[in-house]
Amino acid sequence: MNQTEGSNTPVESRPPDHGPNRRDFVKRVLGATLAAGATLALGLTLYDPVGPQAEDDSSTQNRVLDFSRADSIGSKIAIVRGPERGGLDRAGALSKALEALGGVGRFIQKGDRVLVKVNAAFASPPILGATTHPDLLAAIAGLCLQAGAVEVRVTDNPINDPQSCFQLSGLAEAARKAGAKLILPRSSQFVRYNLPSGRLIRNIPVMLGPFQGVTKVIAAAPIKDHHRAGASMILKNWYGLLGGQRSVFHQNINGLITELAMMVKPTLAILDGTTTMITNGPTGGSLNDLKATNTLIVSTDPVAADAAGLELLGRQLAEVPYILQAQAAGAGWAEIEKLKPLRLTLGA
Amino acid sequence: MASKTCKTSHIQQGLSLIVLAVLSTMAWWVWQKQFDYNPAVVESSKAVDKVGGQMQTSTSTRASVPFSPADNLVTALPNLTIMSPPETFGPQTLADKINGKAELYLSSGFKALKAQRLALKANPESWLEVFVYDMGSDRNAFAVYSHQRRSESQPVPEYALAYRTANALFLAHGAYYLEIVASQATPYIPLVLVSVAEAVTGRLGSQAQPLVEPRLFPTPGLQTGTMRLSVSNVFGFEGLTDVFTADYRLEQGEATAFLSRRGEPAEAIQLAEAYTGFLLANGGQEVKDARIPPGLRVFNLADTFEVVMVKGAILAGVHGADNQAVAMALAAALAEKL
Repeated sequence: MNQTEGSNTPVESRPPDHGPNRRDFVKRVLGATLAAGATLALGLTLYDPVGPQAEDDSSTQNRVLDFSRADSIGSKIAIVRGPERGGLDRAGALSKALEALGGVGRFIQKGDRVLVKVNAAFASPPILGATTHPDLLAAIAGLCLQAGAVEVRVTDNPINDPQSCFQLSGLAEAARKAGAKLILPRSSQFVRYNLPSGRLIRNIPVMLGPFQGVTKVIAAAPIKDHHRAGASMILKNWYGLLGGQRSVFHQNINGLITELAMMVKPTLAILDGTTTMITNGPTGGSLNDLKATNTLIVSTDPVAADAAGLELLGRQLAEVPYILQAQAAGAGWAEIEKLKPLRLTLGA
Repeated sequence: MASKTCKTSHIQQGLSLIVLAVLSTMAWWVWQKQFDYNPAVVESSKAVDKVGGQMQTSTSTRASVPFSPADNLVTALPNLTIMSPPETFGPQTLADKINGKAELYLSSGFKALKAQRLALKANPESWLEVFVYDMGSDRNAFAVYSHQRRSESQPVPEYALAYRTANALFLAHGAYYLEIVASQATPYIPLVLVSVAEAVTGRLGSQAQPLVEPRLFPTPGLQTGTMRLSVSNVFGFEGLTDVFTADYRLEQGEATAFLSRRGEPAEAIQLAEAYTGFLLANGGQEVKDARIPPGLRVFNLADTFEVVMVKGAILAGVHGADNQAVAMALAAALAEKL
């Protein structure tokens, strides 16, 4: 007769499916405890309170895109106003502004490859002021090529279908006529990017392909009200380099734009205030959303450009937090009077 | 000594498998959801429709514009040609079309957007884009319509809630908000805009009765085009929702009148108490004056004047008045109309 330890009833005589004896019970409890413990340990191992960290491998980019001339030229800004009536000649205003800043040759030299980051966010006609005006792009590209640039590239990663956006905004035609090369976004142009010391721009797809081999970067954007951010100008324009589900950043849009200001430092920032979309931005839709402000702002400092543009929108710095945040982060100067802006008038 | 483990029963095994299956499903769902996060959808999922005074929560995110996705928005207009296929957007993709402005729609009960471009046959470089927003209810449609009202616009006689500017036409048609935006502002564009609006609204069919609340506002001094419906957080008070406002310019000064129809009088009274408590908590001082009619409460808040009253199930009053005289005058006119 066999007996198990701790049991008075022989095993053979125990009815089937009687239930676990003490040894079995202890084994099961031990097993369950070990399983629970292992699960807890696994959970603690996987727990990540700070989110994804920078990947330390060559497939992830993490350098600041610094094309600024701040070291040699410093923060300079020129603000050109057109006549009260008759609008603003964008090409004329751009030439005047660059002349005041030392001439286009101070920024673009022979052999340069220039990237112009436009705002082509919407498939919207030029008159609505929701995208960079084709006349301005044509003027920029023309001046760069005349100064000796071997190539001028134009790019953006629009909200809507890229082909429609560049076509209907007139930017594709303007680029073609000016001899610039249009680069539409393709998945192959995006790489995983970490902004050094960034909290939000961590391991997200950024369109760096158009920057390959580029020596100068020019940002060209309109001045617009923005329902979420307060304003859309130069700093917000860098949003168009992001890929993936970028709308998720709307929850912390000021923080994101501040980091974008740290990520890209252009050679020149050109803010088109010929008309300013003062309401219903960023899409607008009616000519009534626009105010004729007849101003072009050209600066080596994108934060200063945005601060000057804000005046045309009739807003205070406190209403658009990312500008002061960008200044605090060292991306530029919002207090433009300290830069001794060059205020010029075009025509009479 | 051989040990004999106890076999588990079929029931126990079955239950175990069910538990494991549920856990696996949950794990898969969590893993899959993290690639699909869009905070904008949170607002859309809480869209509120008010029907007959009863609050309903709509959780539908399926596009419900009454055209199939492949349908062109406009057919049979001889002077127009289709320029691009129709596009359809839901709450999760609306920002892909209108970017930062999506929030305005999502917080107002947005269901779906259908958009399409058309070109003029006589001048293919002149084109227009039609946007049809299904806002789920006529009140929601009026909310987004009124919040984007442009100044210096022209009325569109064919519609009660419509206006046009040099290049665009905007209208609220029942539960739908329409925008028709042209690429050029030429003399013939207004006619084209109206014909497109008629073609689209014709397909949408006749809509619900006009909103009642706008007719409850007194007419003298009412500033044209300022009537608005705000669905949430009105005047900075979270409890104040679904409020119509209109701006006035009277002999005594300027002020804004407001009213909100609640489900029943008790609710209106409760909301009035909560709102007056909010005013007092934020520095408002109640004005005690023998000339103030019974049923009205007047507050002085940061050099402006506020009036709060209840008429049946309607909470009403005056906001941001320049002085007490205009606040009282407007409140009296509003009370008489109610």
